Amino acid sequence: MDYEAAFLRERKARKNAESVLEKKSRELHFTNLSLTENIDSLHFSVLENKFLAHIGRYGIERPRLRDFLPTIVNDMMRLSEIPFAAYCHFPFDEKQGNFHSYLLQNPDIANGETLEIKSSEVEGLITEVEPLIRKSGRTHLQVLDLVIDNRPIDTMIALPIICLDRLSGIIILFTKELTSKQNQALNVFRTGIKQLAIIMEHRYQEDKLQATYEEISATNAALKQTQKKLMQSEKMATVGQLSAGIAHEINNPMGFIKGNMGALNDYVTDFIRYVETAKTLTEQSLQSSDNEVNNAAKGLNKIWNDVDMPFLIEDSQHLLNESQQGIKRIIDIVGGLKRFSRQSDNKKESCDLNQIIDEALKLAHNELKFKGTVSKEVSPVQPISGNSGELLQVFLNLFVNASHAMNEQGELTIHVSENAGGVSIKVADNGCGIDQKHLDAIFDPFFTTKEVGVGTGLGLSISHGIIEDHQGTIGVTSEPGKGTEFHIWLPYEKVA
Amino acid sequence: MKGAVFTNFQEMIEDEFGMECWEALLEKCDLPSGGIYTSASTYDDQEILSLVGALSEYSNTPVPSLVEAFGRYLYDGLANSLPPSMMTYPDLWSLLEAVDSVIHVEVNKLYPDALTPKIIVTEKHDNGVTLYYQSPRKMCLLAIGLVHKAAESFGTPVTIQHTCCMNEGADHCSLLVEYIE
Repeated sequence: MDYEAAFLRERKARKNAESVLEKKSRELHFTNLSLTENIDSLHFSVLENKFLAHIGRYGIERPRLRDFLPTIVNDMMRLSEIPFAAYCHFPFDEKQGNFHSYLLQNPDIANGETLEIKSSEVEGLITEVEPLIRKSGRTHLQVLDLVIDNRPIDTMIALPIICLDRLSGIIILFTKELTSKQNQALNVFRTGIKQLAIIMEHRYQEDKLQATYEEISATNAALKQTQKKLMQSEKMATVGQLSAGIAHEINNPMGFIKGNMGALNDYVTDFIRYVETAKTLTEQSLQSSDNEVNNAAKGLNKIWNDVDMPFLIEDSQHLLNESQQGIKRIIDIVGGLKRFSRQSDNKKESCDLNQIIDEALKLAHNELKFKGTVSKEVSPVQPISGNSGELLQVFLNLFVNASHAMNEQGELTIHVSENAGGVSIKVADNGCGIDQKHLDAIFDPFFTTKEVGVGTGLGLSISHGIIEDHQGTIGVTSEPGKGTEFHIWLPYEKVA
Repeated sequence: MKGAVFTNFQEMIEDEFGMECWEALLEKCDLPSGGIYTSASTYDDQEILSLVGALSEYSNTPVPSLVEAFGRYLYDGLANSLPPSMMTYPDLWSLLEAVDSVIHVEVNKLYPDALTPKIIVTEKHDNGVTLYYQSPRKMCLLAIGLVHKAAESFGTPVTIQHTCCMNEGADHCSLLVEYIE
């Protein structure tokens, strides 16, 4: 048997197997290569997505650009495997001032040490590149000869962030020999930065819109307030006009009624004097022996008794007094109406509010003395320009109202101080308080919760008018069962 | 060292000295691999040194001559193992320049663990080049054999002067390769 032929055949078989193996190895190598490429491109895509997602986050989470740029710059360095970068920020709000970052290092190669070195050189480069970018508005590539942290750097890429035709920032990358992958990354950066600029633009417009909206809302609220005030003053004006007419119409007949009543009173007094004297004569005549005289006296005496003359005398005086009081009330009300409709004289003088308050307290003393204590917390205030009579009326009105609201354990507190270019006066009682549903109406004319004949419903509306006349404000807070506080503010003004 | 070197060595022995010689060498050296070589594997460098040493004794030939002769033999084996597209060099010089930049790159693709020597053309002269050789194996003579055989295959025999050698303490070898005038 020829073993050598068999041996050679086996060797040939081995060689064939080896060459097949080699072919497979080569194929494996290329598969590996393409796998590695795929992994690389996947890795790139992941980083690219992260970068773009971060940019999207700028629109959603709305961070400040200055706080946000480092994230983006780090993403860019990671994505492009560029070792160093820096950025500047030129805020819209020029008061914030421009910002230049330190030199940043790719977090993937950073060794934890800070890179203070070369900062001045980098700063110089940024300062040089800024005007170039401002002029061109485009990506700027520059050849360098630098060594940073033992790494040679020969390329600087400056990417502008342009928003609303304005340079908002520059991102500067430092690297050595741009690879094709880095070039690919640069395209991603350009797109990303454009997107960032669009988001910035949206945010800017949104903020502007929000500001405009807030302004409009405020204006609208002010307008509504004004409208409400206007309606109130129109109502007041109508009531005022009406009151003025009524007051005038009532005043004239009231004038002569008052005069007539005065005269009638005199007459009645005379009549009574006469009747009483006649009564004496009648008594004497009844004793007379003269029949004629006696009969006449009897007739008179009968009438006296029939009409119950003593009652008539007493009651007519009473009636007259009552009528005169009624007339006085009518005249008071009409006077109030006239004052409410600003028909009173408008002389302004220097008024010491503390003095006026003291005077009003004196006048209200009769009302207040059975209703508890009065305490004052008064700081010295400058005089204001006003009508002291009218102001006195206001305070008197408040004190009398307070006395009506309080029982015997009442406490009236008066607080006077300077505030906001004027005098602030607070009048607080611990009385029954005012029901919430009445609070809005208390300054309306003829509004009253008092019994008929006790209040006219004009006091507070007149007070309101007087305070408005003095360019002041009057307001009220109240809690039923706890008490009421009126607060008045009167401005200092040129004393006429 | 790559298995291809061993399989080629085995074939050279069989061709030049016969199969009995190969068997005798294996018996003498008592190698860890037992002399079972395939081109796909890698074997201890020491095995080739032992085999060459034993062959030197067997054939009564000095080791350097054997190594260079083996280089010449190895050329065809290695050249044939490359993809045909890689062996289209017009002359020796372009082949020498391609060793480091193309051929060894290709080898490393197939065998990432292969320790290929550094063989670079450092200077070009009118009638030749200076070749730089560097490898921890210091097998510059093998390289010289390979270059001679390559030159012959292009029909342009060369002289090679070994101007400095790693085996004499240098950190690399310099080979001045020149056409024979």
